[in-house]
Amino acid sequence: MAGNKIKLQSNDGDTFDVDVEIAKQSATIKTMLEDLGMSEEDDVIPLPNVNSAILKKVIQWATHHKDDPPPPEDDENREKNLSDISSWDQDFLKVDQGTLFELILAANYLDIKGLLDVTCKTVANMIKGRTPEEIRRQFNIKNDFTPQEEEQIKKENEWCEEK
Amino acid sequence: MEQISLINLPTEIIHHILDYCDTKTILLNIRCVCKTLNDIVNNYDRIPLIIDINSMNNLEDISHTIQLEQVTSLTITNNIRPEEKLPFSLLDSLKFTRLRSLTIERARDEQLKYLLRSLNTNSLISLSIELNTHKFNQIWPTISDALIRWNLRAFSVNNTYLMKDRILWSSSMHGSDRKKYLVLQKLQNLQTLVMQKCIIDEKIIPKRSCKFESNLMFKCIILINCIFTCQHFERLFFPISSLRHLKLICESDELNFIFHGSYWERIISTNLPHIDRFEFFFSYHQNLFKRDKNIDFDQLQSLIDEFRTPFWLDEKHWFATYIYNFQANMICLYTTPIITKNDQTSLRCEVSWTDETFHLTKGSLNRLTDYDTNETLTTLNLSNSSIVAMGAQHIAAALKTDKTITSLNLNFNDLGKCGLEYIANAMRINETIITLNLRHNFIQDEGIQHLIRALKTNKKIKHLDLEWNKISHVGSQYLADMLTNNTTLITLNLGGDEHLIENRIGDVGAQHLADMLTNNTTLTTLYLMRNQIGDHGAECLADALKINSTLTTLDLFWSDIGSLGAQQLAAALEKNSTLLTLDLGYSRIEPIGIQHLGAMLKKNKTLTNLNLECNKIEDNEAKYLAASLIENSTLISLNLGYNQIGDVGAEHLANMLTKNKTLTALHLGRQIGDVGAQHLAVALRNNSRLTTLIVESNTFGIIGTQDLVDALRHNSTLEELYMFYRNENLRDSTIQKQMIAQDHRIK
Repeated sequence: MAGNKIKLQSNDGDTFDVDVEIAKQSATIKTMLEDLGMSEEDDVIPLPNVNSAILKKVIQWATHHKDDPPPPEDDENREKNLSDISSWDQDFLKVDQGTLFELILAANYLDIKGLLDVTCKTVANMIKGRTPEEIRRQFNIKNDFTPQEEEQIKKENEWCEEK
Repeated sequence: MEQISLINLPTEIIHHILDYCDTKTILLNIRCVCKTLNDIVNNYDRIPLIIDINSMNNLEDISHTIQLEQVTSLTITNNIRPEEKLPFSLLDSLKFTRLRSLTIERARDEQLKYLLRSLNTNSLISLSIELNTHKFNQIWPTISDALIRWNLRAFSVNNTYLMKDRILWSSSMHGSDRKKYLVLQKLQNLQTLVMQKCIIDEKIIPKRSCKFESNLMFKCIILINCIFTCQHFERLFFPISSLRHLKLICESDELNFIFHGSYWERIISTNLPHIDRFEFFFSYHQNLFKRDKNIDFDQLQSLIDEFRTPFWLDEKHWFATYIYNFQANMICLYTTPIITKNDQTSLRCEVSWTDETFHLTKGSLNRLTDYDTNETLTTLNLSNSSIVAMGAQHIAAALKTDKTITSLNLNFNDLGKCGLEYIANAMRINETIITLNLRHNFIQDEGIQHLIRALKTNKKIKHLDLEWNKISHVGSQYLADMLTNNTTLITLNLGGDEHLIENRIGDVGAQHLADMLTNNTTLTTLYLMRNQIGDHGAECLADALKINSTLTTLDLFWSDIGSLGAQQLAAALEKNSTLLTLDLGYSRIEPIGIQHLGAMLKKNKTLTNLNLECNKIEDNEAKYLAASLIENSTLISLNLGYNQIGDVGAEHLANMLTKNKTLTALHLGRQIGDVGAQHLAVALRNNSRLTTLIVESNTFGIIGTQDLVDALRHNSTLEELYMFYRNENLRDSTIQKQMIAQDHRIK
């Protein structure tokens, strides 16, 4: 098994040698390899949506998680357990917001479910328990509501604020 | 490159983030941040909605905020107690057209019926009901009709009260035929079934196995706290050959078939071949009333062995762990990881699938413990934990290999001689325990024999507490014989029972121990309180003290020692130069005995602590003791509390305090009046050594108190002044409170 490698190329031209088994955590790459019949030896897989810094992080994550069991498929019972981010992942995701969002986009593009889940959970944790104003400050978002609109939203929300 | 912001992320990704947020955060906070997020939330169709059934009328208001078509997950709770009946009506116009998951918690029967009949949805795939009803028979037809109508993929049912029947059956609602049919067979799409607190027996399973040929979807069954026999289990599950996931959480008061790995191995490999996920948490509570029916410990050890076959470890990769929970007196077998309410982190004995060693641990159940790097337990405190023989067996099994625990505290349990035998046997092998506390465990003389055998080989235990164990002179003789040659034990507590007077070591036991003390050169501390040791026993101990030069503490509190015994001890201490602490509190020493002790204090240069509380000390003896203490320069602490010392005695002692330069703690009582307090106050002004003064149950009043309080202003060494009053009126009075407020040293 070991030793079977493929080359991944970032959008700034750098090429990374990666174990096939590690790269296959990306459903996108897996499909490319299996369906499109790319030969593993010679070809370079270009990933035009991912830059070198992010690709490096993604490979680091995938390498650490290479022996993980596949995530459960039953979407109906998805348990929204927010505390279940492993400490390794928490450390891994101690990055600036820009990097975090780029990781999300890369995970989405490469279709790596585990990485997408854990990055989205991380963002959700940054939102939870914060007021709208705090969320604006946290993510540098402008409040573009008019006072009337704001009043209207407040009114709509009255029913669930009573408790 | 421009930095990406949250609101620039694609909508489906933000929706993915919203999946991990709760409803309130989504609606109240995220929706109000900006127009972009407002739009995104308004288009989000996986909002989990949680509402109280009693505020369902508000749904119309809610529908202004979110379109009910967006709701895919709805939880209806009931936070109002059943007796508070509120009017309840659901608007017909409400359409949860995309509802996929519905949870109804604790609704009243008529509310539940109404909801199940009137909820207008075709998209539901998952239903979870938490019932709170005695009348299960009446509500079940409505539930089963709804199940069939909605053709669910997942169904979960839980009842506060045990559901005794019907759970898989239904009877048709109409007509007189009341034909029963098995609901499971009608639910063609059902994949997941969760049952909590059900009894699975004849009533819910037909005699002949039912057939599920048409039902190939069935994948997952979870049973939580259900009651079933293996016959019923097999009859229900064997036909479901499509089953892939089985989770069982069971409590039992007998070690029945569910605890046997060989059983599961057999039925899964022959009848349920497609199960690829098997999780369980089986717990067995030993019934304390059936304690005599002791479970064979080897049998318990073999339980985990049955989960170590290639079937479990190599083929299926289902890893089981065995634990014994001391506090709960409970045996559990579970697969790792498991999610259960039982995920406690109490102290337990654990055997994992990896080796056959018993480990003591208190980490999380689900943590795969690496015992080598395990945060090492050095103290095992299981005092007052209802430990019986079975617990002792587990502790013993773990202690045979344990290399980290140095202190084992089993005080106030119920080991008995049988439990003690297990602990004692482990002590023959264990090489780390230094402190062993076995206070109040009904050990008795027979149990001591087991311990003696262990202590003959054990070379580590330094501190042994056997107080309150009904040990008579016989047991003390065993101990004395063993200690004659022992060179490890430093502290021994053989204090008697606090309540019962039988089975105490008495004079005979004291004699054995005294003989031992003439030979032993290691023991430094010996507690013999409450043992009915009289003058003869004291005489023997006194003779030993003339020879012994290692003992530093001898505790004879609450003995039968009178003046004669005190005289002998005093004589011994004139020669002895090792003993630091002598406790003769609550004995029967009369004035003449006190005088001998006083004479001893003039000559002794070693004793630092002397307790003479509650003997027959009057003013004259206080005078004598005071005179001795003027010459003594070693005694640090003297307890004369609860004696008959009055104002005159207090004057003598106060006078002594102005001259003595060593005493730091003095405890007085019980007859001191205002005059005596005045003398003590003068002493406090002139003493710079005393740190603690206790004047207990005294007769002095406000004047005496004020004198002492005033004196404190001129004394900077005293750290604590305790004043307890016999006068009821002064206790907790405002005057007292005011005085305490003046100086923080007054207690």
